[in-house]
Amino acid sequence: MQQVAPEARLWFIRPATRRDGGIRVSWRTLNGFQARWFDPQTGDSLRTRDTRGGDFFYRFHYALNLNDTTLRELGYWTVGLLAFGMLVLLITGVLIHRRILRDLFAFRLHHGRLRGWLDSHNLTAVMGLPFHLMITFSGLVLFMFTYMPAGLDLSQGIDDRELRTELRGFYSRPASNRAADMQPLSSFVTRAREHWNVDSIGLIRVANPGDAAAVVSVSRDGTERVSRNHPTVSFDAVNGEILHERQAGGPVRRVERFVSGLHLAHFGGAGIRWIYFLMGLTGCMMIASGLLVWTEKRCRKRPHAGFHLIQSLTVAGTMGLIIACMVYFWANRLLPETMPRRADAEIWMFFGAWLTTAVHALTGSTRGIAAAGLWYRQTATAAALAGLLPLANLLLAPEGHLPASLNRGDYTLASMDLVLLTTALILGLCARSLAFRATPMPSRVARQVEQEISP
Amino acid sequence: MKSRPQPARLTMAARLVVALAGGYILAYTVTAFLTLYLPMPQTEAVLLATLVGLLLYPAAICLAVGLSSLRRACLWVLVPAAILGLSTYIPLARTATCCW
Repeated sequence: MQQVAPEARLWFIRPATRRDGGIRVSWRTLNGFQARWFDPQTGDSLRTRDTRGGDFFYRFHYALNLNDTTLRELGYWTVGLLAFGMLVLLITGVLIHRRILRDLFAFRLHHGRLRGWLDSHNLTAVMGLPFHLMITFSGLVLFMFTYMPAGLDLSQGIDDRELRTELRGFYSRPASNRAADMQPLSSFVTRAREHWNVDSIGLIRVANPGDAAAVVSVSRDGTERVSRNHPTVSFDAVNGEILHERQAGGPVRRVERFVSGLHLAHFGGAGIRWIYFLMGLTGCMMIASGLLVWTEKRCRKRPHAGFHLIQSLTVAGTMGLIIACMVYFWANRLLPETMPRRADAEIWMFFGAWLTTAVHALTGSTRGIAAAGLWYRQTATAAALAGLLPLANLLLAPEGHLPASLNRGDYTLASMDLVLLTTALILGLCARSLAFRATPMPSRVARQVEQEISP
Repeated sequence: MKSRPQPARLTMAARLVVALAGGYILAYTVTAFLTLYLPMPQTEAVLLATLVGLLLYPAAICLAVGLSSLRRACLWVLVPAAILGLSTYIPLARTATCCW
């Protein structure tokens, strides 16, 4: 650690898990978090490409990739306001669909195009409602003091240190700015294991390493329970004495830890992750289908100058986003490994691709069947990018491609390619039907429009 | 007395301000009030108050938009916020001045 990140004020070391098989070491500097992986057997640094990988999506989903300390708050607040908006929409959605049971069992796919979208909106919304409420609210709970600082502000100065330790969960104390030799970290791990009488531990945190006031905190394995209330013991890194041990806390504390644990889903392994993934997809489906019904209805009622903008952004916000993600994955495979600032380049490719889809949608026409043409072009692009990626892996990643990962039993990696292929298949089918709709056939279109307006 | 009909857009804009800003102020003052007066240990009170505040903000937005008139929306959102805010921060300001 001392060699990897001597200037860092905070280190995190997470032992290898079954899921990724490497020791993850991360540290905080003035420019945000950085991470590296190490081999658990040899202790060598694993040579990885310079990439942010999935971490980019993870950070984007709560801070919008604004890593700068001052801008980060802006990211939190933008995401937070959207989350409050989502909660409001979920409440109003429930209120507006009071006859939901009837709507739920009516799936009228062949009663015109909009009916089908409306019914799929209702179906996915009802199916996912408990999950959507849970994930939105628990996401807000994770950043509760950013969004609602009133209580914390009032409590400042009452019993500051105690409160912060209790709330943050890690014992902390200011650096002394005097250098000192720390005891080896392995000794703390051994003592923590003996303390709880367990084999595995979850996380080692070192605050102010190399300082006379350095603190080593060891937490228990977090995959055992839903709640984020992992028992944690903090040692003085220099003389080894126990400074603090995390208590389970009162009932409210335990509720809060449970709710935020539900969001993070460190429990339950791959099964839970798949359920969350599928539930998240119902959320995307709910939003996208609702958006489609809304824009189409608006268009029919009163064609409007802003309509082109809304419809273009709908295309760029749904298909364009998928294209941007695919471009990010392609950049991850294709950019040369020796490229300077490679990780940043990948992220620029993501935003560049997204912007391109928006410009493409905005400069095209969305009048009449031209809209279907626009949808078709972006859907087909997304399908091609997703479907060709596993094939590119065959050529570019001799150990990571689908046959290799299946052969090895590495289902985490294999499911990435399998999901990509499924995505490509679904998007391909959509593109085919869009292509049909985008071809000018006046009589057919007229008939269809008539059908849809009449009910 | 009958009030003059207001332009719909202006009422809607005012309602949104009451909902978004007023709703947040209500949630904020409720959080502060509960933090101060909840009969439980400090850390528990802070957490419970903040959780209530998080739930209250979206609820207050729905309330402000859903009430039948703008005046009612103001009444239900801003008046409780004012009462709670005053009853929280006035005692605090007093103790602060006495301690100096």
